Amino acid sequence: MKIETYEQRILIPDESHWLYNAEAQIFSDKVYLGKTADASQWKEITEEEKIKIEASWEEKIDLNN
Amino acid sequence: MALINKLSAIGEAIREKTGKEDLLTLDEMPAEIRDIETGGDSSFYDDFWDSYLQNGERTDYTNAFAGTYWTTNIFDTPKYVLKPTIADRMFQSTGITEIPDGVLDTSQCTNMNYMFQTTKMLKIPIIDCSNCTALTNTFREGYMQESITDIILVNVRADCTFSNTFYYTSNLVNLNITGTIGQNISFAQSSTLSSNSVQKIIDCLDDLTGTTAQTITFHTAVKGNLSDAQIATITNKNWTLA
Repeated sequence: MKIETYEQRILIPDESHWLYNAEAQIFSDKVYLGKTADASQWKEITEEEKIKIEASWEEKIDLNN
Repeated sequence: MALINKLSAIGEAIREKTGKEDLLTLDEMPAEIRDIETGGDSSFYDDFWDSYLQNGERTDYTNAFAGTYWTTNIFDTPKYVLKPTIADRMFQSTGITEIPDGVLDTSQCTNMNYMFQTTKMLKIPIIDCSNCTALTNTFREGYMQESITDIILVNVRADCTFSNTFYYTSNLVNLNITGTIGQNISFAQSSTLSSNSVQKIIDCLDDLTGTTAQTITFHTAVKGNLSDAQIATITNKNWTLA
């Protein structure tokens, strides 16, 4: 029998904020990091910033389509 | 007009259609007429699909059935099995609501970008991803969110990219997926994804230990229903759960 322990890193934004990964283009309310995932890829943003970023994605998609 | 003249006129009309020159007896006329009807109906079907599908050799299906002017009635059953190697926008915004089983073979397809974007499809056949390296915007938004509840993806490759593949497939319930997921993938808007589907997705996640972590995104409600064990499985495979 073997016992494995591991550290679970969880990123939780402040209230009314979101976590944002610009490279992967992902928003989240809570992030569970992979074993060797880089936490610095995520930053906290406000709701207003999230709306602006989403709007810019839609613009790019419309232009490409 | 005497009866004999009328019969002669019928015989002449038959010869005009068949291209034959022999005189016909009355007994022979019904069979000749039936052949004309059968040949006429199938020749248009054959001519159209032979041309559009290049006698079954067509492999680039970019925009092939895109647009609302394609309907299920017009699409009906193509003469040849559709075997795309490129299916970019193949059914984008199509008016076709159903593809019969056995009509579409995607096993050789490398590109399915925008393939079913904004369709009115009620049912999508099995999508074989054996050779597909790009599923960008494949099932995204539009009418899809009103209708599609089930998607079957088989033989997914670890190097296949999933940029906005399921963007706003809001009514997706059952995703029956096999193979290996090796790139970032998001179900952020799929709030009704079944627990069975979620487990199948987790089971398909590649073990990225020793390589760069990737991210899987679930809708907040779906993420909230994950067990500790499922979360541990995901992160232990070096996937970030967002």
